[in-house]
Amino acid sequence: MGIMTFRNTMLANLFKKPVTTKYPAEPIDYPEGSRGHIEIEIEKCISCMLCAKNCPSGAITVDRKEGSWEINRMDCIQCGYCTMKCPKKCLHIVPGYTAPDGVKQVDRFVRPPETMKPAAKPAAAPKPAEEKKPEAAQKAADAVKTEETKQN
Amino acid sequence: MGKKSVIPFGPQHPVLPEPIHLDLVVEDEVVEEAIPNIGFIHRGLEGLAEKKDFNEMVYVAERTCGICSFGHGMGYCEAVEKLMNVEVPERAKYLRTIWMEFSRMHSHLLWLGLTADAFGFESLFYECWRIREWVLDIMEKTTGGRIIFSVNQVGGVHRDLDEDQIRFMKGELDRIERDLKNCEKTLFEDATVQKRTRGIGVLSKQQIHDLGAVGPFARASGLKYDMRMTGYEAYGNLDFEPVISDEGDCYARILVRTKEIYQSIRLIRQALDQMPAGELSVPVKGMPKGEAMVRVEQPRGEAVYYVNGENTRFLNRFRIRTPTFANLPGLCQMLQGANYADVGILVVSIDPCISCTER
Amino acid sequence: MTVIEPVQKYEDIPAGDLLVTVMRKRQAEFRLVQICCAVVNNQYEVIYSFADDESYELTNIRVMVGLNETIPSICDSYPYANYYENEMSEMFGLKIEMIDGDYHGKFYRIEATEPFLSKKAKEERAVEAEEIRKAAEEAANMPAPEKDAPDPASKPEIKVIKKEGGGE
Repeated sequence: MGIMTFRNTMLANLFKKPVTTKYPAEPIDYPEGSRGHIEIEIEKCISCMLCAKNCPSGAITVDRKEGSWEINRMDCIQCGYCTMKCPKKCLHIVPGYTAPDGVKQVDRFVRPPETMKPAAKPAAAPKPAEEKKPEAAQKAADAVKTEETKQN
Repeated sequence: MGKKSVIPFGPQHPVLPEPIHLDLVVEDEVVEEAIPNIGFIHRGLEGLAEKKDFNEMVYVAERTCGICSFGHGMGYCEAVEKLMNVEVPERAKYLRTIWMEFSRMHSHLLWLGLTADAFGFESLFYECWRIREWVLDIMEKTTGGRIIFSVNQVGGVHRDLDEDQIRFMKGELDRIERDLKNCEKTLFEDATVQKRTRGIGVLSKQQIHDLGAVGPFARASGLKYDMRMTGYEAYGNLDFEPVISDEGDCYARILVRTKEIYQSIRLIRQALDQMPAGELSVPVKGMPKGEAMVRVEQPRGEAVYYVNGENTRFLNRFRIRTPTFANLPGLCQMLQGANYADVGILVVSIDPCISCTER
Repeated sequence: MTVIEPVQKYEDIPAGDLLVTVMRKRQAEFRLVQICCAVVNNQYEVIYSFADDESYELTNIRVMVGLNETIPSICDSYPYANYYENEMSEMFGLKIEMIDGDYHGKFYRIEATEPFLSKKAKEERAVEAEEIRKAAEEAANMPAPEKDAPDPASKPEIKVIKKEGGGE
C-alpha cells in the first residue's frame, strides 16, 4: 500500500500551465471534418424536397413555388443525412456550431429567379435573392412567423 | 433495536451521471433493502421506430445515450443488416471495430473519474478526464463529433481514415498509454483507494450467475463472458482474451476496467495494422421483413437489439435491452446489508447508464 | 483466439406450456437475457430469450397471447424477471399475474399509461373484452343443472367414523 502516491503528479501540475482554454475569450480552433452547421449553394438547388423529406428532425422546409429553402438552426442535429441525399450536392456540413440564443433562428434562402422554371406568373414581381444577415428584427419576425406555422 | 426509516437516494446525486431513484430502507446506518424506480429520462424512443424511416432511425438510435452512443448505432445497423441479408465490406468492419474500441476507452475513463469522485479523490478525477480529452479529440478529428459520431449507416460507414489521421491516432495512443500508467500506481496501490474499495460489495460467481449480471461487473467476479469472443465485425481476426478477476469486490471492478483500457489500445493497434483497403458501404435494396436479434458488447456489458419488420419502410418493433437493466438486480442485492456511507461507491461500481436503460 | 460461433434458435409454444419450458431452462442453468413484447395482428407476441454462458447459444421462446388474456409470471424460476415483467405490463398493458415485487404501474414514473399500445389495438381490446363479457353472461343465464347431479361448488360431506371400545 502506498501513501500519497499521487504527489508526483500533483507537484508537476502545480507548475504546468492549465489544460483548459479561456473560451469564449480565446476563439476555438475546430479540426477540419468537424460537424457544425449546414450551408447551401442556393444556385444549384432544384427544389426536389429530398432533404426536407429525409431530415430526421424535420428542420428543413422547402417551398417549391417560391423556390425557398429554410432551415431551423436550433432543430438541426448535425447528422449530415441531407448532404448525402441531395442529388445536386449543394449542401455542405462545415465546422462552427450555432451559438446559443433566446429565440429559435430560422435561416431562409431563395433561389435566384433566373434558375427557376419560366412557369411562374408574369404578373408576380420577381423576388431578389436574400443574403443571410444577422438583423435581429428581421430574424425575430421570420422566426416568430415560421415558429407559428410550424406549431400549427 | 433501531427504528427503520426510508431515505430517498436520487434522482439528483453527485455520484450519479444520470437520474435514478432508489428508496433505501435504513436501520441504524445499515441498508436493509433498496427499491428502484426509473422513468426520469424516458423518451419513448422505441415508439419512434414506427414513425421514422429505417434509415433515419440510425440517428435516433444513436442518441439513446451519450456515453454508449456508438454501440447503439452499430447494434441497430447490425440488426437491420442481418434482417435484410446485407454483407458489410471488410474495411467498414475494421473501421467500426476501431471506433467501438475508442468508445469503450472513453467510457471506461469517464467511469474511473466518477469512481474517484465518489470517494472524494477529485485530483484523480481530473487526471482521468484529462486523458479522456485526448480520446475525444481523436474522435472529433476522424468522425466529426466528440460524443455522437453519426458515421454508421445501414450497409457500412460513410467516413474513411486517411494516412495522416492514422499517424495522428498512433501518436495519441502512445500518449494516452503513458499518461494512464502514471495514474495506475494511484489507482491500484494507494492506501485511501484500498480502504474504500476492498471488501465492499462482494458478490460470488454463483450469485452473479443467478442474478443475470453482464459485462465487467460480472467479469470482476470470475464469470468469463465477453460477447466479443463470438467474432462479430472484425473481432474474429484480432487476438485477445477477456479480462477477469476473482475477488468480486469494488477494487476488482476498478482493476478489470483499467486493464480493459489497455486491452482496447492493443486491439486498436492490431486493427490499424490489419485493415484492408476497399469500399466503405454497399447499397441497400428493399424493405425490412422478418425478425432478427443481435448481441453486441457495449462498454457496460452485453446489449441485445431486436428488430421486427413487415415489408414497409417503418419497423414494427425495435427493442434494446441494455446492460444496466440486467445489472440492476445485482445492485439491489449488493445494497442489502451495506453501510450507508458505501452506497455511493456501490451504485457507481455497476457503471449505471440510466438513459440507455430507459430509452 | 478461438472464435465461438453462436447458435440462435426460435421455438413457438402455447401459453400453457410456458412455465414448464422456463423451469427446464432453469434446470439447465441458462441465464434469462430479456423479455420482449410486441403487438402483431392484434395479439401480444412475447419473446423470452435464454443464453448459455459457455457456448454463447441463444434460445428464443415465443408465446402468442390474446389482448385480454393473462399469463403467469416466471419469477419463481428467475427472481430478477420482475423488472422486465413490470416494464411490459406498464408499457403495453399486458396482464401478468403473480409478479414477485409488483409495482402496480409505478415502476416508470411517467404520466402516460400504456404508451406503446396503439389506439387501434386499444379499441380492439375493448371490443374483445365486450365479447367475452357477453359470452360469460350467456353462460350464467343457462338453465339450472339436474337435481341428482352433485353441485360442484359445495364441499364434499365429511363422514365421521366413531371409534368403539375402550381406549385411552
